Amino acid sequence: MQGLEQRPAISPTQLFMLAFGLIVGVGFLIMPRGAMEKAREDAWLTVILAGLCAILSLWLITRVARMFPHDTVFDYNTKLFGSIIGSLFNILWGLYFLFFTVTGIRVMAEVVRDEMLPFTPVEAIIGAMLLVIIYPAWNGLMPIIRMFESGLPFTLLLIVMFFLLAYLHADWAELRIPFQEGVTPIISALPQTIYSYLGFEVLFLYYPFVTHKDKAFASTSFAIVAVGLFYAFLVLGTLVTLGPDVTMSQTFPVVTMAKTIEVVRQFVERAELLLIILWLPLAYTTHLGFFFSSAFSFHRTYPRLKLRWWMVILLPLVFILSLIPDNFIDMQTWSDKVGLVGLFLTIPYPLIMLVCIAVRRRLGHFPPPRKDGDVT
Amino acid sequence: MTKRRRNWFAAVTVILLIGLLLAGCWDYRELEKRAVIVGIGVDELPPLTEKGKQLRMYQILVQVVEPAGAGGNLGSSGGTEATSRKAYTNIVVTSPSFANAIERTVALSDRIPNMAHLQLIGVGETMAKNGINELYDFLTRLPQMRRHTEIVVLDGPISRFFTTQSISQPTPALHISEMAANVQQTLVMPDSNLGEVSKSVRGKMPFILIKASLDDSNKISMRHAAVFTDQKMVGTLTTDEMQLLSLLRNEIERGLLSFPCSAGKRTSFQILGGRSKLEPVMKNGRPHLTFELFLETELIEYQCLGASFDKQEQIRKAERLYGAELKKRLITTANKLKDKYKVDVFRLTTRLKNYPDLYKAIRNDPKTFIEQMVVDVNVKLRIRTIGSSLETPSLQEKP
Amino acid sequence: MKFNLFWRKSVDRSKRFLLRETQAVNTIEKTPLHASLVKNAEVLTERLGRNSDFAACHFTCMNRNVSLFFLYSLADSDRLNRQVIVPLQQRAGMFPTAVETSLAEDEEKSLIVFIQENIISASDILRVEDWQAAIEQILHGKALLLVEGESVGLAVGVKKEYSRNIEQPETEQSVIGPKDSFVETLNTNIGLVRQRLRDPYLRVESVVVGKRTKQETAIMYLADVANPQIVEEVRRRLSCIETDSLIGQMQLLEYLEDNSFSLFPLMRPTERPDVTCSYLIEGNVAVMVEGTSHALILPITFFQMLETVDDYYTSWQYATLIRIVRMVALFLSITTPGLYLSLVAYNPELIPTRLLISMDAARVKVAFPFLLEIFVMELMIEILREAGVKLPKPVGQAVSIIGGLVIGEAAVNANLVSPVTVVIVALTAISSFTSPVYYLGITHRILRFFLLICSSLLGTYGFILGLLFIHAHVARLVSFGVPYLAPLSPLRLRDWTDMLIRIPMKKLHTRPAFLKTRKPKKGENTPMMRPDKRNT
Repeated sequence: MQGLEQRPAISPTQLFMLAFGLIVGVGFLIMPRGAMEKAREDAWLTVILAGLCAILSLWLITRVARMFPHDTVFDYNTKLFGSIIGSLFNILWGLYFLFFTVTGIRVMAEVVRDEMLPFTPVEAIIGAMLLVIIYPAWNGLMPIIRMFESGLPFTLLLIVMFFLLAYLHADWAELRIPFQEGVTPIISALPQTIYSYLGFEVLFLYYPFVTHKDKAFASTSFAIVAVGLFYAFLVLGTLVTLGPDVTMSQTFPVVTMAKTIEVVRQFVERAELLLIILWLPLAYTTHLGFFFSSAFSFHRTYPRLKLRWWMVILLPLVFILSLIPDNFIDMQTWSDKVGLVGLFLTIPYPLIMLVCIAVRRRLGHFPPPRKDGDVT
Repeated sequence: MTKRRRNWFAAVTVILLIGLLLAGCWDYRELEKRAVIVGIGVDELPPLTEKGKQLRMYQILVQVVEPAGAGGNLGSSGGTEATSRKAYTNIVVTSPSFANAIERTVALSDRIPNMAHLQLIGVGETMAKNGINELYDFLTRLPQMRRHTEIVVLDGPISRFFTTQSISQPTPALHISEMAANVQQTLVMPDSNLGEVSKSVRGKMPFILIKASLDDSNKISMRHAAVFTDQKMVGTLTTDEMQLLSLLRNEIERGLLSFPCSAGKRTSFQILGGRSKLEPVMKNGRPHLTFELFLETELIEYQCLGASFDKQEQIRKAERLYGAELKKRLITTANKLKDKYKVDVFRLTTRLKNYPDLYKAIRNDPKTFIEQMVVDVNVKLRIRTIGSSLETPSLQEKP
Repeated sequence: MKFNLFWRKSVDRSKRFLLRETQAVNTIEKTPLHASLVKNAEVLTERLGRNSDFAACHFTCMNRNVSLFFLYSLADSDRLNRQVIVPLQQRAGMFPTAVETSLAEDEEKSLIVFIQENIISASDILRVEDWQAAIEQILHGKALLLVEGESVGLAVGVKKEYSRNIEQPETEQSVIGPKDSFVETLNTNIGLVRQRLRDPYLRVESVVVGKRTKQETAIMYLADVANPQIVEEVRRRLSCIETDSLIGQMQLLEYLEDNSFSLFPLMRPTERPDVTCSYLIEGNVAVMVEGTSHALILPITFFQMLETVDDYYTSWQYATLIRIVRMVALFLSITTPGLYLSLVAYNPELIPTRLLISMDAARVKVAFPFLLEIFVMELMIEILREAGVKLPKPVGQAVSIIGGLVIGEAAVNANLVSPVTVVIVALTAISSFTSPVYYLGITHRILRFFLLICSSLLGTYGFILGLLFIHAHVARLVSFGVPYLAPLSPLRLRDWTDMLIRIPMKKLHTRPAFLKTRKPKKGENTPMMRPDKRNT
């Protein structure tokens, strides 16, 4: 197997779509429940606040990545931390992406099996999805980026229009003036909600391929802002259509919100099937991006094995791992752990790297810092 | 890549794809093999004692569409046989568990049940009085359920309801559900579907369902509403009470308000729209709730003679008169309901969210709150249209 | 912006192309001609003499033997007489003038040169010095003139061109626009293009392809606009083609494509000179082969295949709306059977209740399962279509009406299929006729079956996965360095003005950005007179 295409090039619009598609995946079906457990009616504020935290972490990541404009994180992990700890971190990255894919695929398969295909075994659902994942990933990063860029805007438009239909049955009295119970509930719901924003840390991996590096931070933060608005729209929707009590008692609150949609009587009976149909491309993009990032990170850590070999190895691994948990609740514990690792990788990890860079710079290993106007 | 390696990969891929093709179609089901359930009627039988515990026994009537009878005038020359076939089948099962009952319908029909087109859930009165929490759990757990299925309390034997004939609808269940939908839109009846029930149950609030009854000639009428607290039916409301309650609850849709004008004659106003705002205030430890009601109406009928509405003062006089009348009625009804049921039938729990102390009071101790509540109503009635005639026939032309 | 950044081809594929050498199309050896006429005649008779249309003329000129060899079927005997034989015989043979005689006696100049320059009055004369060129020229239709004592021959062009009249295009009909189309002769086609595009920078290069057919392939492009990398790549790929013959433009398409496993055509074939001209002005490159009546436009993107000619001959509002209708129709033509199957068999909840009851009633009498029903109906449509192509025109219409209406109606009445299936299949077939490019229509027909299989396996989920698979496939395609999904990805909103909608032509100022042309704005000219190093 030969190598893949020549060097991929990601334009700022494509970076925006990439970040958006990676972040908006499987989590948003369950997110209102987690947010409303602690914050009740102010959950939409939590969501927006979590978005701001994500932008902050993105800023840290960009600062680190700017120091090494031509290296992916795997190259400068070893440079900064030495070869042992560096490769440990690299393997952590790879496993994190792998398990993110595993949990995502399993949750998606559960939702599909619940609502659409009750009698199909989960293996078939996961297997079919994996086949469709490996097909574009086989040719490298560029087909993935093109898929994101061409498929996402239209899907997003359709989903937003679909959810607007749910707002027709909204009871706006459920809203409440914010901060009535203080700021504490909002802050306490924050960690759960930040899990839903994970995905922008791939900027670590793909920063060298971005064409206009000075616009990288701007476009990715626009993506996070868009994601934040979308999530707030969803949480607000569940709040006004279902109310906080019902939301907390459902497994998939967003799907339940879709169940309340009735435009014309007896026209479309189960509108949540339409939701799942529209949501499948969003979940697919997340799985595709993370699977490729996982193979990419393992390939960069051990370059002797080509990227396509890594994909062939990781695909059955994803299949086997995703079938291990017994049911959906078991899978939730897995995704909580993955979320913790993600939190670590987005907030403390860039801080550690910045500290390490400062230390090494003082020791004279690195060139003096660039000024802000420098574009690589 | 060497040729051998390429061949090996090709073989593996082909085997995988063939595997996918040979398996599959687990969910494929022909349309005629699906039993489309359009209505469920549940009533309670005397309980069964088993191992010392009492099990509630339910009699469940499942209405399944028979396509040959329902759509038999399509596509073929079977026009003459269509009218002699029934468009539905009623299957009656007795069981303490709902899931068990639905499963047993498989043994009684030749098709697999599919609940996704369920339009009507009919609850018998006995069962309503004893509580519907088991039914509720079954219904909300099933992923196939939608949240706008109508739930109606059926006053009478259930099988009679599910065999009424209808001209426009193929099955009785569809007929009843269409009636319920229409009634919800026109007669200021409450939204009585599964979503509302679910919201109220989770929020620990009472809910109101439409109550249907049969008269002697097997015609269904929906002129009452049933009040449920803690998932048990505790009382019935008439249409007038329900209407006034909806006005207070800010669920104002089209409806008719009728007042006496003089000497036993009536005048009627059709509600075009309006809103009802709540002004709650905590005074002396007792909540004082003032409902500010603003109604836009249309004059439909004025039976008194000698009245003309061509001047603004006359309209204003009518507005004031009937507004005061409405206010009296509202306060009377509110107090009556408050004292009778002692639960929050006014949907205050969600509307008080922006008044934290009142909200806490009603959340912690709803009974005391309702008992101590003082209700006041301010009505602003506006007559927007008077119709096509400016005046009624004069007094001299009394028949 | 550097061109290199966007040259996305897979490394192994370009390596495969690079490793190929320029193919030799000639199988005859390159030995020089003999000086003796008799010997030359012998060799020629041995090679070509057994053909019944091989002719040889012998006469004398200036007291030397001169022979003329040609193929009857290819040479235009009238011109041959007029331009070659008569002048030779009269002026140099029988009635030489004094001037000519003296010139002929000049030892410096050989007779051949003399004949070439003074006697023969044809415009297309080539000196031939070896057997390869000699036989090739005879097979091209030229007449070979050999003189005793000279080891150089002359090939005189008196070719008879068999060419069709210019008729209406078959696949790209235009209601309102011009109605001429290409023919099978290369010269005529080039002429048709040149008549429309009278620019000095329109360059026509020629590459000979095909070992046995030796077809001439023309590469046409605007030298100051087209991306030189693309032109170079086309040239290289053409010269690497290793084949006996190029039978049609599909074969050429396959050879020139980046990825011939794809169902989607990566170059657009067109029969119309006006379409070719507009693409050339945009900066594309056109390739034409002798013997086919289509020109191949490259590089092409998916959305350019959805344009018809009439979009530019009608008002822009109508063109925009019709483009949207066309895209919807093409989408429906792929998805309708699969969607129908997945809705009815897997998720009947998405169908309105009353419709479901009527469909159920109609289906109760039908004995076949859904999948079989739809498959058989689709197959019937394909058979009807295939049969309809071969029928003569007067019979074709009647048969299609009979096939469609009567058989469909009879099948419904016999309870073999349900009426809804007939409607669905008919809708699909009609939608697929809106495809502007013939090859794309074929692609849609195949994809329809693929989606049908996907949705029969896993229902609506399988249907969505099938759509994603097709999307992934299209996202992978690259046509001569241009991603197939441009301008949707990479996103260039400026290009949408011509691809997805159509704004008034007054405002169409720019060329498509993904072609990386040398002149992104239209309306600029490069003056030709200044020595310009960019024009290679």
